[in-house]
Amino acid sequence: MDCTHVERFLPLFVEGELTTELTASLQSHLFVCQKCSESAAEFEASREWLRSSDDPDFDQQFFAELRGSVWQKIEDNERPWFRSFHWGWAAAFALLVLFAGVVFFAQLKQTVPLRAMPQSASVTRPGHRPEETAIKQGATHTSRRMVARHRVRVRDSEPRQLLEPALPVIAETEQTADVKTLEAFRIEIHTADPSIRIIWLVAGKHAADPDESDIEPMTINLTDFGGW
Amino acid sequence: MPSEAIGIGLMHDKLKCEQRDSISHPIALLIARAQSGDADAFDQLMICNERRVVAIAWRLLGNRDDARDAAQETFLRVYRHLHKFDLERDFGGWLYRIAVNVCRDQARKRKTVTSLEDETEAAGLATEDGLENRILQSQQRALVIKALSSLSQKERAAVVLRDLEGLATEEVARILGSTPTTIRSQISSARVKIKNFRDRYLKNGRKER
Repeated sequence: MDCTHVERFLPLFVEGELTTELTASLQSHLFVCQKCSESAAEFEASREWLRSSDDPDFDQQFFAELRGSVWQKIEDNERPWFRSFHWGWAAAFALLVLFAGVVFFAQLKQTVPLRAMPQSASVTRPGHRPEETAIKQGATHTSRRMVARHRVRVRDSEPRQLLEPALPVIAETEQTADVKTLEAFRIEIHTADPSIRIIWLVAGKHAADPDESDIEPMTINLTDFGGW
Repeated sequence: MPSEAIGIGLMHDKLKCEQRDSISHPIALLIARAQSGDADAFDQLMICNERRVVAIAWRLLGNRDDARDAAQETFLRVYRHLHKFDLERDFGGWLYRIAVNVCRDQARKRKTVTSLEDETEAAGLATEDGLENRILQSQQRALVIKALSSLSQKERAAVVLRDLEGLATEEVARILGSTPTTIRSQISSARVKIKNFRDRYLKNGRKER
């Protein structure tokens, strides 16, 4: 074993922490090597120097105070939370939050304007004649008279009712030309048999006078023409 | 004070605790009573172990105030976790582990170590009787603390438990949560550093003369 190896094992050798074989090997080297032997002695002296220092003089009062502080901390930790709670600070904080909330909402009321209720342009009551502007996009034919009387809001899911006389709400139709709301001519043809009558409803022109509300049926008496 | 006397002094306190314990309160029974909430039992437990805890804390941290704070925190943790302690285990080893962890946490919070001057100043407040002796002892303590502070935290803990507390390498490894091989390596490195520190100090001392 050379000096480099011995130097590495010396710190553990002085405390007897090496294996038996290694210890014997080191001892035989130290017996012949003065330099390593002196190094081993220095390690021994250092160990003794470390152990020779005593602890500071901690008297009984020091330990009594230590135990007292431990019990004080235990008591503080075990105290119910409401006893150790700082109510003053909590109250101050609550007041601050309340004040901030009042200021915030007061400012909010000043800045947000009241919005107007949207007008429902599509809802009318029976007898009320809508303006032209109330006509929805998509409707190709409108009869003001018909619309005035029999306007309905026709949706895909709702049945279409053209001549329903009694509707609680009259709304403007949104449908296209499928729904004819032209002014109709009623042609009623009487025969010799009074129980037989032929009634035609024919789509006619727009009423020239929008105020005209009654439709006079045209009656044709076939007996006038002979036959039937 | 010679190391043998220190050992005897500590053993004497330990014997006192053991005698008291063997008569009426064996350590296991003391711990069991403390676990059930007996405050007197826990107080007894503190009395039996306070010197050991304070000594370790002082060697690891280097000054009285830090040692007192660390000892206080150690006993608080013992109180909090005593209900989890298994009576079959070694209470001393468990206590050492807590103390070392507390000291490590405390050392992280502060970076400076007590200087030589602080210890000398403390010694100056001593009485006239044996004043010179006290100053020398104080300086010796300060030098040892300074030598220990030159080590890393792990090396310091290993050498304090092994060389100053006299625990076996395997027990030190168990307390520090390491392996005996690692502990031996750390101790070896620590002893080399302490030897070099002492050599430098002695060399400077000879130069001044």
